[in-house]
Formats: sequence, C-alpha cells, structure tokens
Amino acid sequence: MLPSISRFPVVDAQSLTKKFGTLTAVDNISLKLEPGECLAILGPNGAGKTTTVEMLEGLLTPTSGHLKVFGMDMQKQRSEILERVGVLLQETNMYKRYTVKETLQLFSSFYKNPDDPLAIIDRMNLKDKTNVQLKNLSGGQKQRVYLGACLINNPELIFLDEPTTGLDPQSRRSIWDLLNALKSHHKSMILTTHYMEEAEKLADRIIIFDHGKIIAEGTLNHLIALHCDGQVITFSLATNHKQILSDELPKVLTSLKSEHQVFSSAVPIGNRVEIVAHSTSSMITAILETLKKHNYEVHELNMRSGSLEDVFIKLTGRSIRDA
Amino acid sequence: MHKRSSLIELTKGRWREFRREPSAFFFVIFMPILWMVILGAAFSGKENVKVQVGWIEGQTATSPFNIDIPASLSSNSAIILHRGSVEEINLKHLRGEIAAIVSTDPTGLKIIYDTASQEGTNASSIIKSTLQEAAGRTDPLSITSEKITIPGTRYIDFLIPGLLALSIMTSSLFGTGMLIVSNRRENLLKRYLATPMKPHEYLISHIFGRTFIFIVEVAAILITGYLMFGFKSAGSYISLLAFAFLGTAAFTSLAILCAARTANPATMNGMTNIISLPMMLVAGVWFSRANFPEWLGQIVQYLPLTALVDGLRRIALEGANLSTLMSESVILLAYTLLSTAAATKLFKWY
Ligand SMILES: Nc1ncnc2c1ncn2[C@@H]1O[C@H](COP(=O)(O)OP(=O)(O)OP(=O)(O)O)[C@@H](O)[C@H]1O
Ligand SMILES: [Mg+2]
Repeated sequence: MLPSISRFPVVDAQSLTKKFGTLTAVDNISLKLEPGECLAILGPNGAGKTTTVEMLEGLLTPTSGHLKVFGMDMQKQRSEILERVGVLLQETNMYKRYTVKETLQLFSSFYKNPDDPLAIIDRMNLKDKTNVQLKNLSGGQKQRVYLGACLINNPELIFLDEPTTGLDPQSRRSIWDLLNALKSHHKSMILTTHYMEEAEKLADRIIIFDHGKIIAEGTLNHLIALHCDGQVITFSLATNHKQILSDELPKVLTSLKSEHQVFSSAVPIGNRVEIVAHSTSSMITAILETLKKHNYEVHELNMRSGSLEDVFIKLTGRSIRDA
Repeated sequence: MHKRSSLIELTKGRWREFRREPSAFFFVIFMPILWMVILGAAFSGKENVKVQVGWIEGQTATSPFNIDIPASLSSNSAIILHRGSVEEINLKHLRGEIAAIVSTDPTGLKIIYDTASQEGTNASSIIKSTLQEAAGRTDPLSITSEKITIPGTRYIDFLIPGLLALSIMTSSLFGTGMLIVSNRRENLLKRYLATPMKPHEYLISHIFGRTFIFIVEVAAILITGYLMFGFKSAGSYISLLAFAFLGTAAFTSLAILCAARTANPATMNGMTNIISLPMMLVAGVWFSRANFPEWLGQIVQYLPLTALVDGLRRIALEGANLSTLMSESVILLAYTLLSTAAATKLFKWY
C-alpha cells in the first residue's frame, strides 16, 4: 500500500471541548497530525487523553469544536473514515472463547478491503496460537491479537490508547517492534502513554496534557531544550519518615529558593527533590549548604542530563509513575 | 481473498458463544427436559385417580335409609374411604387429602365439599349415585362406559408445547440480554462502533444467531418427548419450527430492547425476570387459561408468550399450520418489529 500523499493533515482538530455534565474533560484543544507522523499524548490519570482520542475516533461527539479526518467531516462521513482507521482501545475484552483466527475473521468482515487474517496473525507473531481461544492467551499475546484486529483493514491512521499498559517489559518491547515496523510503512499514528520511554522511542512529536488542556507540545529535543535545558540534580534526605519529609522538605526548598536563585525548578517527589540547574557546581554547593544549615544529611545526590520525564515532572508537578 | 459478510460472521459468532458456554448449553437444553420429565412423571396416569371420601366415625351409619353407608361407599372401587374422628376428617379435608365428607344426622344425609373445586364436585356426584343405587334406585337406561385414550389429551401432550414456548422465551431473553450487557461492559460494543460495521447488523445477528440455538433446544425437547412419552405433533414439524422462530425473534428483540441501555447484569436480570415471571404464570404454560376470569383472559391473549403457547399448541395438538395462525403470528411479528425499532433508537454502545 502506498503512503497516502495528501494535502490535508490526516487529523485536524480545532478547539475540541468535551464536557461530562459539569466536568470539562477536554478543554478547547487543537491538534494536527501530518501524514506518516507519530504523535504521542502524555499526561497523568484523568488528563483527558482517552476522551480526546475517542473524539478523534468518532466514538464520542465533541461538545464543541471542529474535527476533520482525511479532510472529511467525522459526523457526515463516519463510515468512510472508519474504513481507513485502526483503533486499539484502552480497555477492551474481546470474546474470550473465540480463537485468535475467529476474532480476526470477525473483524475482517467489517471492512471492504481487509487483509488476510492469517497474514496478520503471522505479522503479530501469533502463528502457533492461531486456533487457541483468547482466554488461554497471556496479556501480551492478547494485546497483539487486539493490535492485529486494529490493523486488519490496513489502516492509514492508527489510534493506540495505552498500547502497552500493564504488560511486562518483554511484551512491551515486542509491541514497540511491531509499532516501529508500522512507522516504517508511513502509517500515521496517535498514541497515548504513561511511559516516557515509549514516547521517546516511537513519537516524532509529543503533546503533554493536564486537566484537559495541552500544556506543552513539540519534538522530544524541543521539549527538553525548552523546559529542561541543563542538568538535573536529584537529592534525597537520609530519612524515610513521612512526617519529617512532609514538614521539612518544603522548608528546605523555601530556604533554597530565597537564598540561591540559580535553579529554574525544584519539585519534591516522595523523599527526593529534583532540581533543574544550569550552573551545576554552584547548585550542588547551595544544596549542601542549605541542608547543613537545617541539620540534614544528604543521602543521595545524583546528576544527569534532562529527559522527557523531567519535562513531565516540571510541567505537571507529578512523577509519571505516580500519574 | 473472498469478502466475508459481517452479518454472517456475527451470526456464526452467536452460535459459537452459545456452544462454548457450558452453562448456557446446560440451561437451554436440560432445564426444559428436566421440567418435562418431572411434570410428565407426576401427572401421568392421572385418569385413574380415585375419589377420596371422608366418613366420620360414630355417626349413625344406617339412618335414615336402612343401608350401611360406609359399607356401600367402600364397595365402589372408584372410592377410597377415609374413616376418622371429626377432627381428623376435617383436617384431611382442609389439606386437600379428602375431596368430600359424608355426614348423617336424624334429618338426612349431607355431602360436604368445596363447590368451587373440580374434585369435590366429581366426588359428590359419585357418592350420590353410589348411595342411590345401594338404596335401590334402578336406572331406566343402562349405560356402560368404554375406556379409551384420545391422543393429545394427556397432560404431557398439553405440557410439551407449553414447555417449548417457555424455554424459547427464557433462553432468548436471558441469553441475549446477558450477552449484550457483558459485551457492553467489556467495551466490545465500543470497539465495534469504531469499525464501519453497520450497527443494525449487530442487533439482527442476535436474532439470526438464536435461530440455530432454538433449533437445538426445540429438537432436544421434541426428541425427549417422543422417546419418553411417545409425544408426536399433529401438525407438521416445519410449521412448528417456523412458528417457534417467530417466537424466538419476538423474545430476542424484547431482550435487545431491555439491554439497549443497561450496563449492569443485575439490572438486566431483574428486567428479564419482571417480564418473564408473570407471563410464565398467566400465559397458560402449565394449565389451560379456560378458567381465568374474562378480564384477565382479555389482557393475557396479547402477551407474546400466550401467542407462542397457543400457536404451538394448536400446531402440535390440532394440526394447525401457519396460515391458520394469523392472529398469533401477527402478535409475535408486532413484538419483533416494535422492539427492534425501539432498540435501534435507544441502543447505547457504551
Ligand atoms: N463517560 C464519562 N462520564 C463522566 N466522566 C467521564 C467519562 N469519561 C471520562 N470521564 C472523566 O473525564 C476525565 C478524563 O478522562 P480520560 O479517560 O480522558 O482520562 P485519561 O487521560 O485517559 O486517563 P488515564 O490515563 O487514566 O487513562 C476524567 O476525570 C474522567 O473521570
Ligand atoms: Mg485513558
């Protein structure tokens, strides 16, 4: 299949808003996806990732805003659009007593020009499971069946909502390999994830969501340069006592902030503090001085260059692991 | 590669889901057979049942007719005489173990029975003629009765079409409803919605899928009925199946309507029970509706289970065919069309 060469962005969403009663789950977001591009949406729980993706998939009707997919209107040309779209939902259980082959045959029957289910099974490395019922598959194998169902119509545009959440590292890697193969076939992709590594490995462009809004957007390098340009210094106190930590860490931070203006951000995470610093040696000196003044011993002190995770922490105030 | 039809694939799936779900299989196939065997055994030979009559010990046995009343009653082989104290006999009557009590006093002879009870009325007339004959009545006309069994008049012949209808109703309502609710809970309906599959195909596949299932259940009941009780349908089996399909379509559509917006299995269960339990009692599955008060009969005749029971019975017992079952067929078709139309409007995919 030739990559679709189009004048339009594959997805063009303008000012999408979705309200559930009084809750605004997605608040006036606009995004575009160029042909062949892979866009990752990151954000803590409840940020509105799934809601956004489901609007783009035509499953939820936006409260307001405009949406074009392949230059077509989602409301009016829904089935034409869906003929060319593949979807992996965040939480689906397909019928557990269907075999892998039966599941893919069923999904192939929904499309005008489906791929051969057996060829898909082969591509998903499930050949030895062809006639096994879904209830007897592991989580990773099941996810590959669902991915197969998502690809059965040879879609140009693929939506993947948390494709590897809950999988073991090995299954995750095998899904990444499959997705990378799709990228090399110039498929356009939108994926949501909680894994920085996933976004770093797969995405051409990253959007960070919080509270239904886009709070940052750009390539990986662009985001790191913009929000985390410098070294990341992490230190922890030599105590694990929750009370002491919650009482004392803020004091240490205030003290650091008022006496030394050299850092651009300081965020407490559990018993650790992360600081992005441009001038690392003076920062380390400052930290040690401040801690000494408060009679604390430093337990660990690390230094590394900024990552996507640091951008996320800086922007949302939360670690992606907690999110 | 040849193009598969989504309707055919979905329908095949329904059958697969049924065949591979052991509990569904059990309920659909074995429950009606169990009913048939238990009720068939309990009611078979009912035509030879004897009349239970109570006699209170210590009453004047001969006065005022100069015949020995208890002895005359006992001499009739159709009567079983219970003797006992007033308390014992009254208690047995209360419990229904005795159909009528014979009592004497100086003024005459009384038969005490519940006039609303068929058994009581029957007992009373047997007691009367037994005693009259013992007292010397001679009948001007001599009548002997010849005992034959008309096929189709046994209780089991009446029961089997009723059980067919009942099992079609319960398996369509419960099977279809639960399947849709669990598909919705597992987000599978939402996944279907993200494909170009036409939503009405999913709904119709439930009706067609049921077709295969009901053929299995109808066959199981008919074969067991034939093997155990020698049951045969008077009308053609094609008519029976065709009419049963109308019933399946009606109840499956009702189930789809109930499941149109339900995400909770307990709610679904409650709804299907509310629909099916009253119908099970009033539609005449177990006993004839002939004795119902008229106003109830008026309402009941429009229920889908009533239409199905009546139609199946007329085919199986009277040899009717589809063309002579217009009103029943129209009722079932109306339920199918109206429920499907409403369900299509109301259906929520997640
Ligand atoms: N059908 C719904 N009715 C009411 N509220 C909803 C509904 N769906 C989502 N929400 C709310 O909208 C907000 C955004 O939810 P959404 O599922 O889009 O988050 P998410 O970013 O995908 O989170 P996660 O990472 O946990 O998957 C949440 O507060 C959620 O509770
Ligand atoms: Mg989500």
